[in-house]
Amino acid sequence: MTPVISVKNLTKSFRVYKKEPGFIGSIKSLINRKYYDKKAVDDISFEIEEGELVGFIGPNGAGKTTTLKCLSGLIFPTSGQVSILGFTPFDRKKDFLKQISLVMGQKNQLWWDLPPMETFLLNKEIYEVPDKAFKKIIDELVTLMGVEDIVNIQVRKLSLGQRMKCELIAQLIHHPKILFLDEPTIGLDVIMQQRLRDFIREYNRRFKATIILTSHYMEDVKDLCKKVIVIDNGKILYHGELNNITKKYSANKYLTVVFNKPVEKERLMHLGQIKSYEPTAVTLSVKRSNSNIIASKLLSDFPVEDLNIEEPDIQEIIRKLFLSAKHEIS
Amino acid sequence: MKRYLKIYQRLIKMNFAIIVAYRMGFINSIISTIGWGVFQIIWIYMLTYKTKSVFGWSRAELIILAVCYVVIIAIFHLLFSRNFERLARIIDRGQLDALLLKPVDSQFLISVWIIRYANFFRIAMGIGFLAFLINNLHITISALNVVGFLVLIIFGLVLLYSLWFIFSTFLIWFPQLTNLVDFLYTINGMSRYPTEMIKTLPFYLLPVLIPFTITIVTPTKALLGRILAGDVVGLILITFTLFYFSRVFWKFALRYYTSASS
Amino acid sequence: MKYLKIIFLHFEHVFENRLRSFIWFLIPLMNNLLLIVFWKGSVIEGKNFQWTMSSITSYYFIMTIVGSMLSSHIEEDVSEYDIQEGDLVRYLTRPFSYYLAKFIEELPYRLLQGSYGIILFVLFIVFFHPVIALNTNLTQLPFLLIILAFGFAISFTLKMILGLTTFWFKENGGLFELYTILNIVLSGGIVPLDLAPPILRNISYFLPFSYTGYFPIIAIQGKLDTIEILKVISIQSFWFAGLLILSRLIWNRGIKIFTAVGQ
Repeated sequence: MTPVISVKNLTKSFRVYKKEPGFIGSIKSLINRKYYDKKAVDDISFEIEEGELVGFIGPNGAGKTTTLKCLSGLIFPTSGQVSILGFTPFDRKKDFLKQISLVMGQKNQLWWDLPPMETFLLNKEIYEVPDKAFKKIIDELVTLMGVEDIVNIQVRKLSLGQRMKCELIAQLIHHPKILFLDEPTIGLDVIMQQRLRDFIREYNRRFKATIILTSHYMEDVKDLCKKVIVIDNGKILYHGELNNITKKYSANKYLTVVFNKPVEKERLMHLGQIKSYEPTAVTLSVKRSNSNIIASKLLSDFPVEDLNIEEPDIQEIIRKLFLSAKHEIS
Repeated sequence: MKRYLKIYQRLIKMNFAIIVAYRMGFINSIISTIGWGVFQIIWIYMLTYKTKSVFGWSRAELIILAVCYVVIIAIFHLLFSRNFERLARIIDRGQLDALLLKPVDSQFLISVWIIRYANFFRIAMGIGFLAFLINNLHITISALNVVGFLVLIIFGLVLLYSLWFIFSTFLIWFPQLTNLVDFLYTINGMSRYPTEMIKTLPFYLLPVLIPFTITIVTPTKALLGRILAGDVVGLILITFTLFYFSRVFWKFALRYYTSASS
Repeated sequence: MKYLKIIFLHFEHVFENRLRSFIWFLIPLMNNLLLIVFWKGSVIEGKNFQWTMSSITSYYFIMTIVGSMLSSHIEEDVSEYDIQEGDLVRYLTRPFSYYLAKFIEELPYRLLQGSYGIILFVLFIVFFHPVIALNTNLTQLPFLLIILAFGFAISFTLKMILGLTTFWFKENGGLFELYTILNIVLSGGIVPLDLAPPILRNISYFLPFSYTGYFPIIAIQGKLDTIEILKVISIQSFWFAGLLILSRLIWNRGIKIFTAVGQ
């Protein structure tokens, strides 16, 4: 199967101007402007198949947004090739743009003084969506988001949550096959975040849309993505299944135990590394292969009330990944 | 293409719907457009209160020139000027992305997005005053004059639009110059003066200033019957050239556009 | 000392945007240059015309400098950012009055604009040697500074009052435009006021606008004798006091509404 998104040796560098703080700095920069070239994206390559929901994980400044912008044709790559649905994004051909959508940052598509429906109709004309298809997708999206009552109320009168839902619908009127979502849940409350995740999952399932999602929140990625691409300092650190990260990069499991009688620390120390201790609760870090043995030992030798075997938090694993990558570079 | 027409129809409807939804804003717009229109007329009256003629134009002709300026600029404001202000804001805030992702010619979408209906009042006021002046000053205007006036206004507007777009394209390299639009309004304002006066300015300024002034002066001359064939040909040629150049330049600038990373 | 530091900080910020503030300066300069050229090609009608090419050139030139130094633009700041978007709250917790705080913020902008003007003025004199009619009576110098200071204070207070109306009218774009138009006409921005039609002339002498433009300019040109200068200063002080009181009243009324209703 030919991949729907194909990136080969993509590099993008920006010129950054340096200025010393303070008034003297301003004068200095007048005379001699210092700059350096920053590689936001450094020789990355990956492929994505149709219908995949891929998570892009990385700290701030890792190159996630820059990559998305290269993929959607907003930025001209410094070098490398990108091919999406057979198009070169930067050509910005009409037929390419009609099939993608980039949802990011300040969403300000909706006209403030008019109901969202008016903006939907405008996008309908811009994307040349036929009447029947428009009606169908509007009905589906509106129902999915639960905004039937408010599509005909002025945007200025809507709450933030309602506005965000309508903004999203506006971006999907043209039924894009490829969706780039840049930090979609940022600034939303917990309930909205979950609703949005459910929506994204449903959109992916129902329309077989290929979705790339960047997020700070591990919850988004854990909930939605089978595959992830981990990126830091413009380089890809890992591309593969999310589950495998845990297996590959974490040798340990965590055992969380609650006792119904206090237990001395010394008695537990030989079982594994103590991550946290209270007389009646302890968290142990043990080797993956030994976790079951140690668990049964705990159950037989100690007054256990509750026992939990957990994978270490993916966030922690990835953090370790970044740290080790930094280590390698330096 | 029919599609662009449909998009424009939609925008006409939506801009009109805003008036209904936002009446105070509309009233404020009317106040300011008529205020400026009246100001232009006071301006020329005050300036020429003690003068008999300026650079060969009689007081009456200067007043007519100023009123034609009011009308033509009002049409420009109706169709285009807000969009340039918006472009400066969009580029400064890095919001150009949303626009560039649309499968529509970006120059088109930027240029026609906002329509300021309030300017209809200024246009009406200007035309009314123009008719009054022509009547009062007993200037003879033939049908040919009026037709020439209207046709050349169209060219003048396209030229003015192209000039503004070319200057605004520089914002992609200098996004902080959000007051560029105010600067362009000032250059627009130079077309209230006779071309003979503009020609006395330093020669290096003329290539920039003359195209602006002929957008107003040439149609006015047609109305007053003072026009030469060279003026008409010049206007038409410059209009086509600069419009074509505005498109080429814009596409060139977009290649260098780097949106601010998050 | 802290005031000085604050001014310095603002100055740095303004300096960063020097290209932008240069354009703000370029605009009135171009307008006035054109007016000068216009007068050059004018054939005057009637007698008793007291202006020569050099005196009218210097009028517009001085107007460019004085205009950019004395006219502040804080009404938008006050209206949009402070009142409508609620930035005002920042100022309420500070130990000095809002009026004073905004006044200090304005100073660097005015100084920068003024310095452009003075540089340009010097360049123009050096390169073009026009005979610029200026006041040579050094005894009037302290009074000139007072006139300029009052001119700025009046303009600032008027703009402050304009901005403060936002407490009651959220939609005042039209009002601001009308003010700008009136100000240009009545402060001698188009022609020196003594060249204006009689009705307009008399109205303008009666209103404060002429004391922020026309009178300071002709005082610098040396067209007023000392008695007349003192007359102007006393009228300016009357206007300034009155407007300051008005501004305070509006502030007191308005801030109650603001803090009661919130944004």
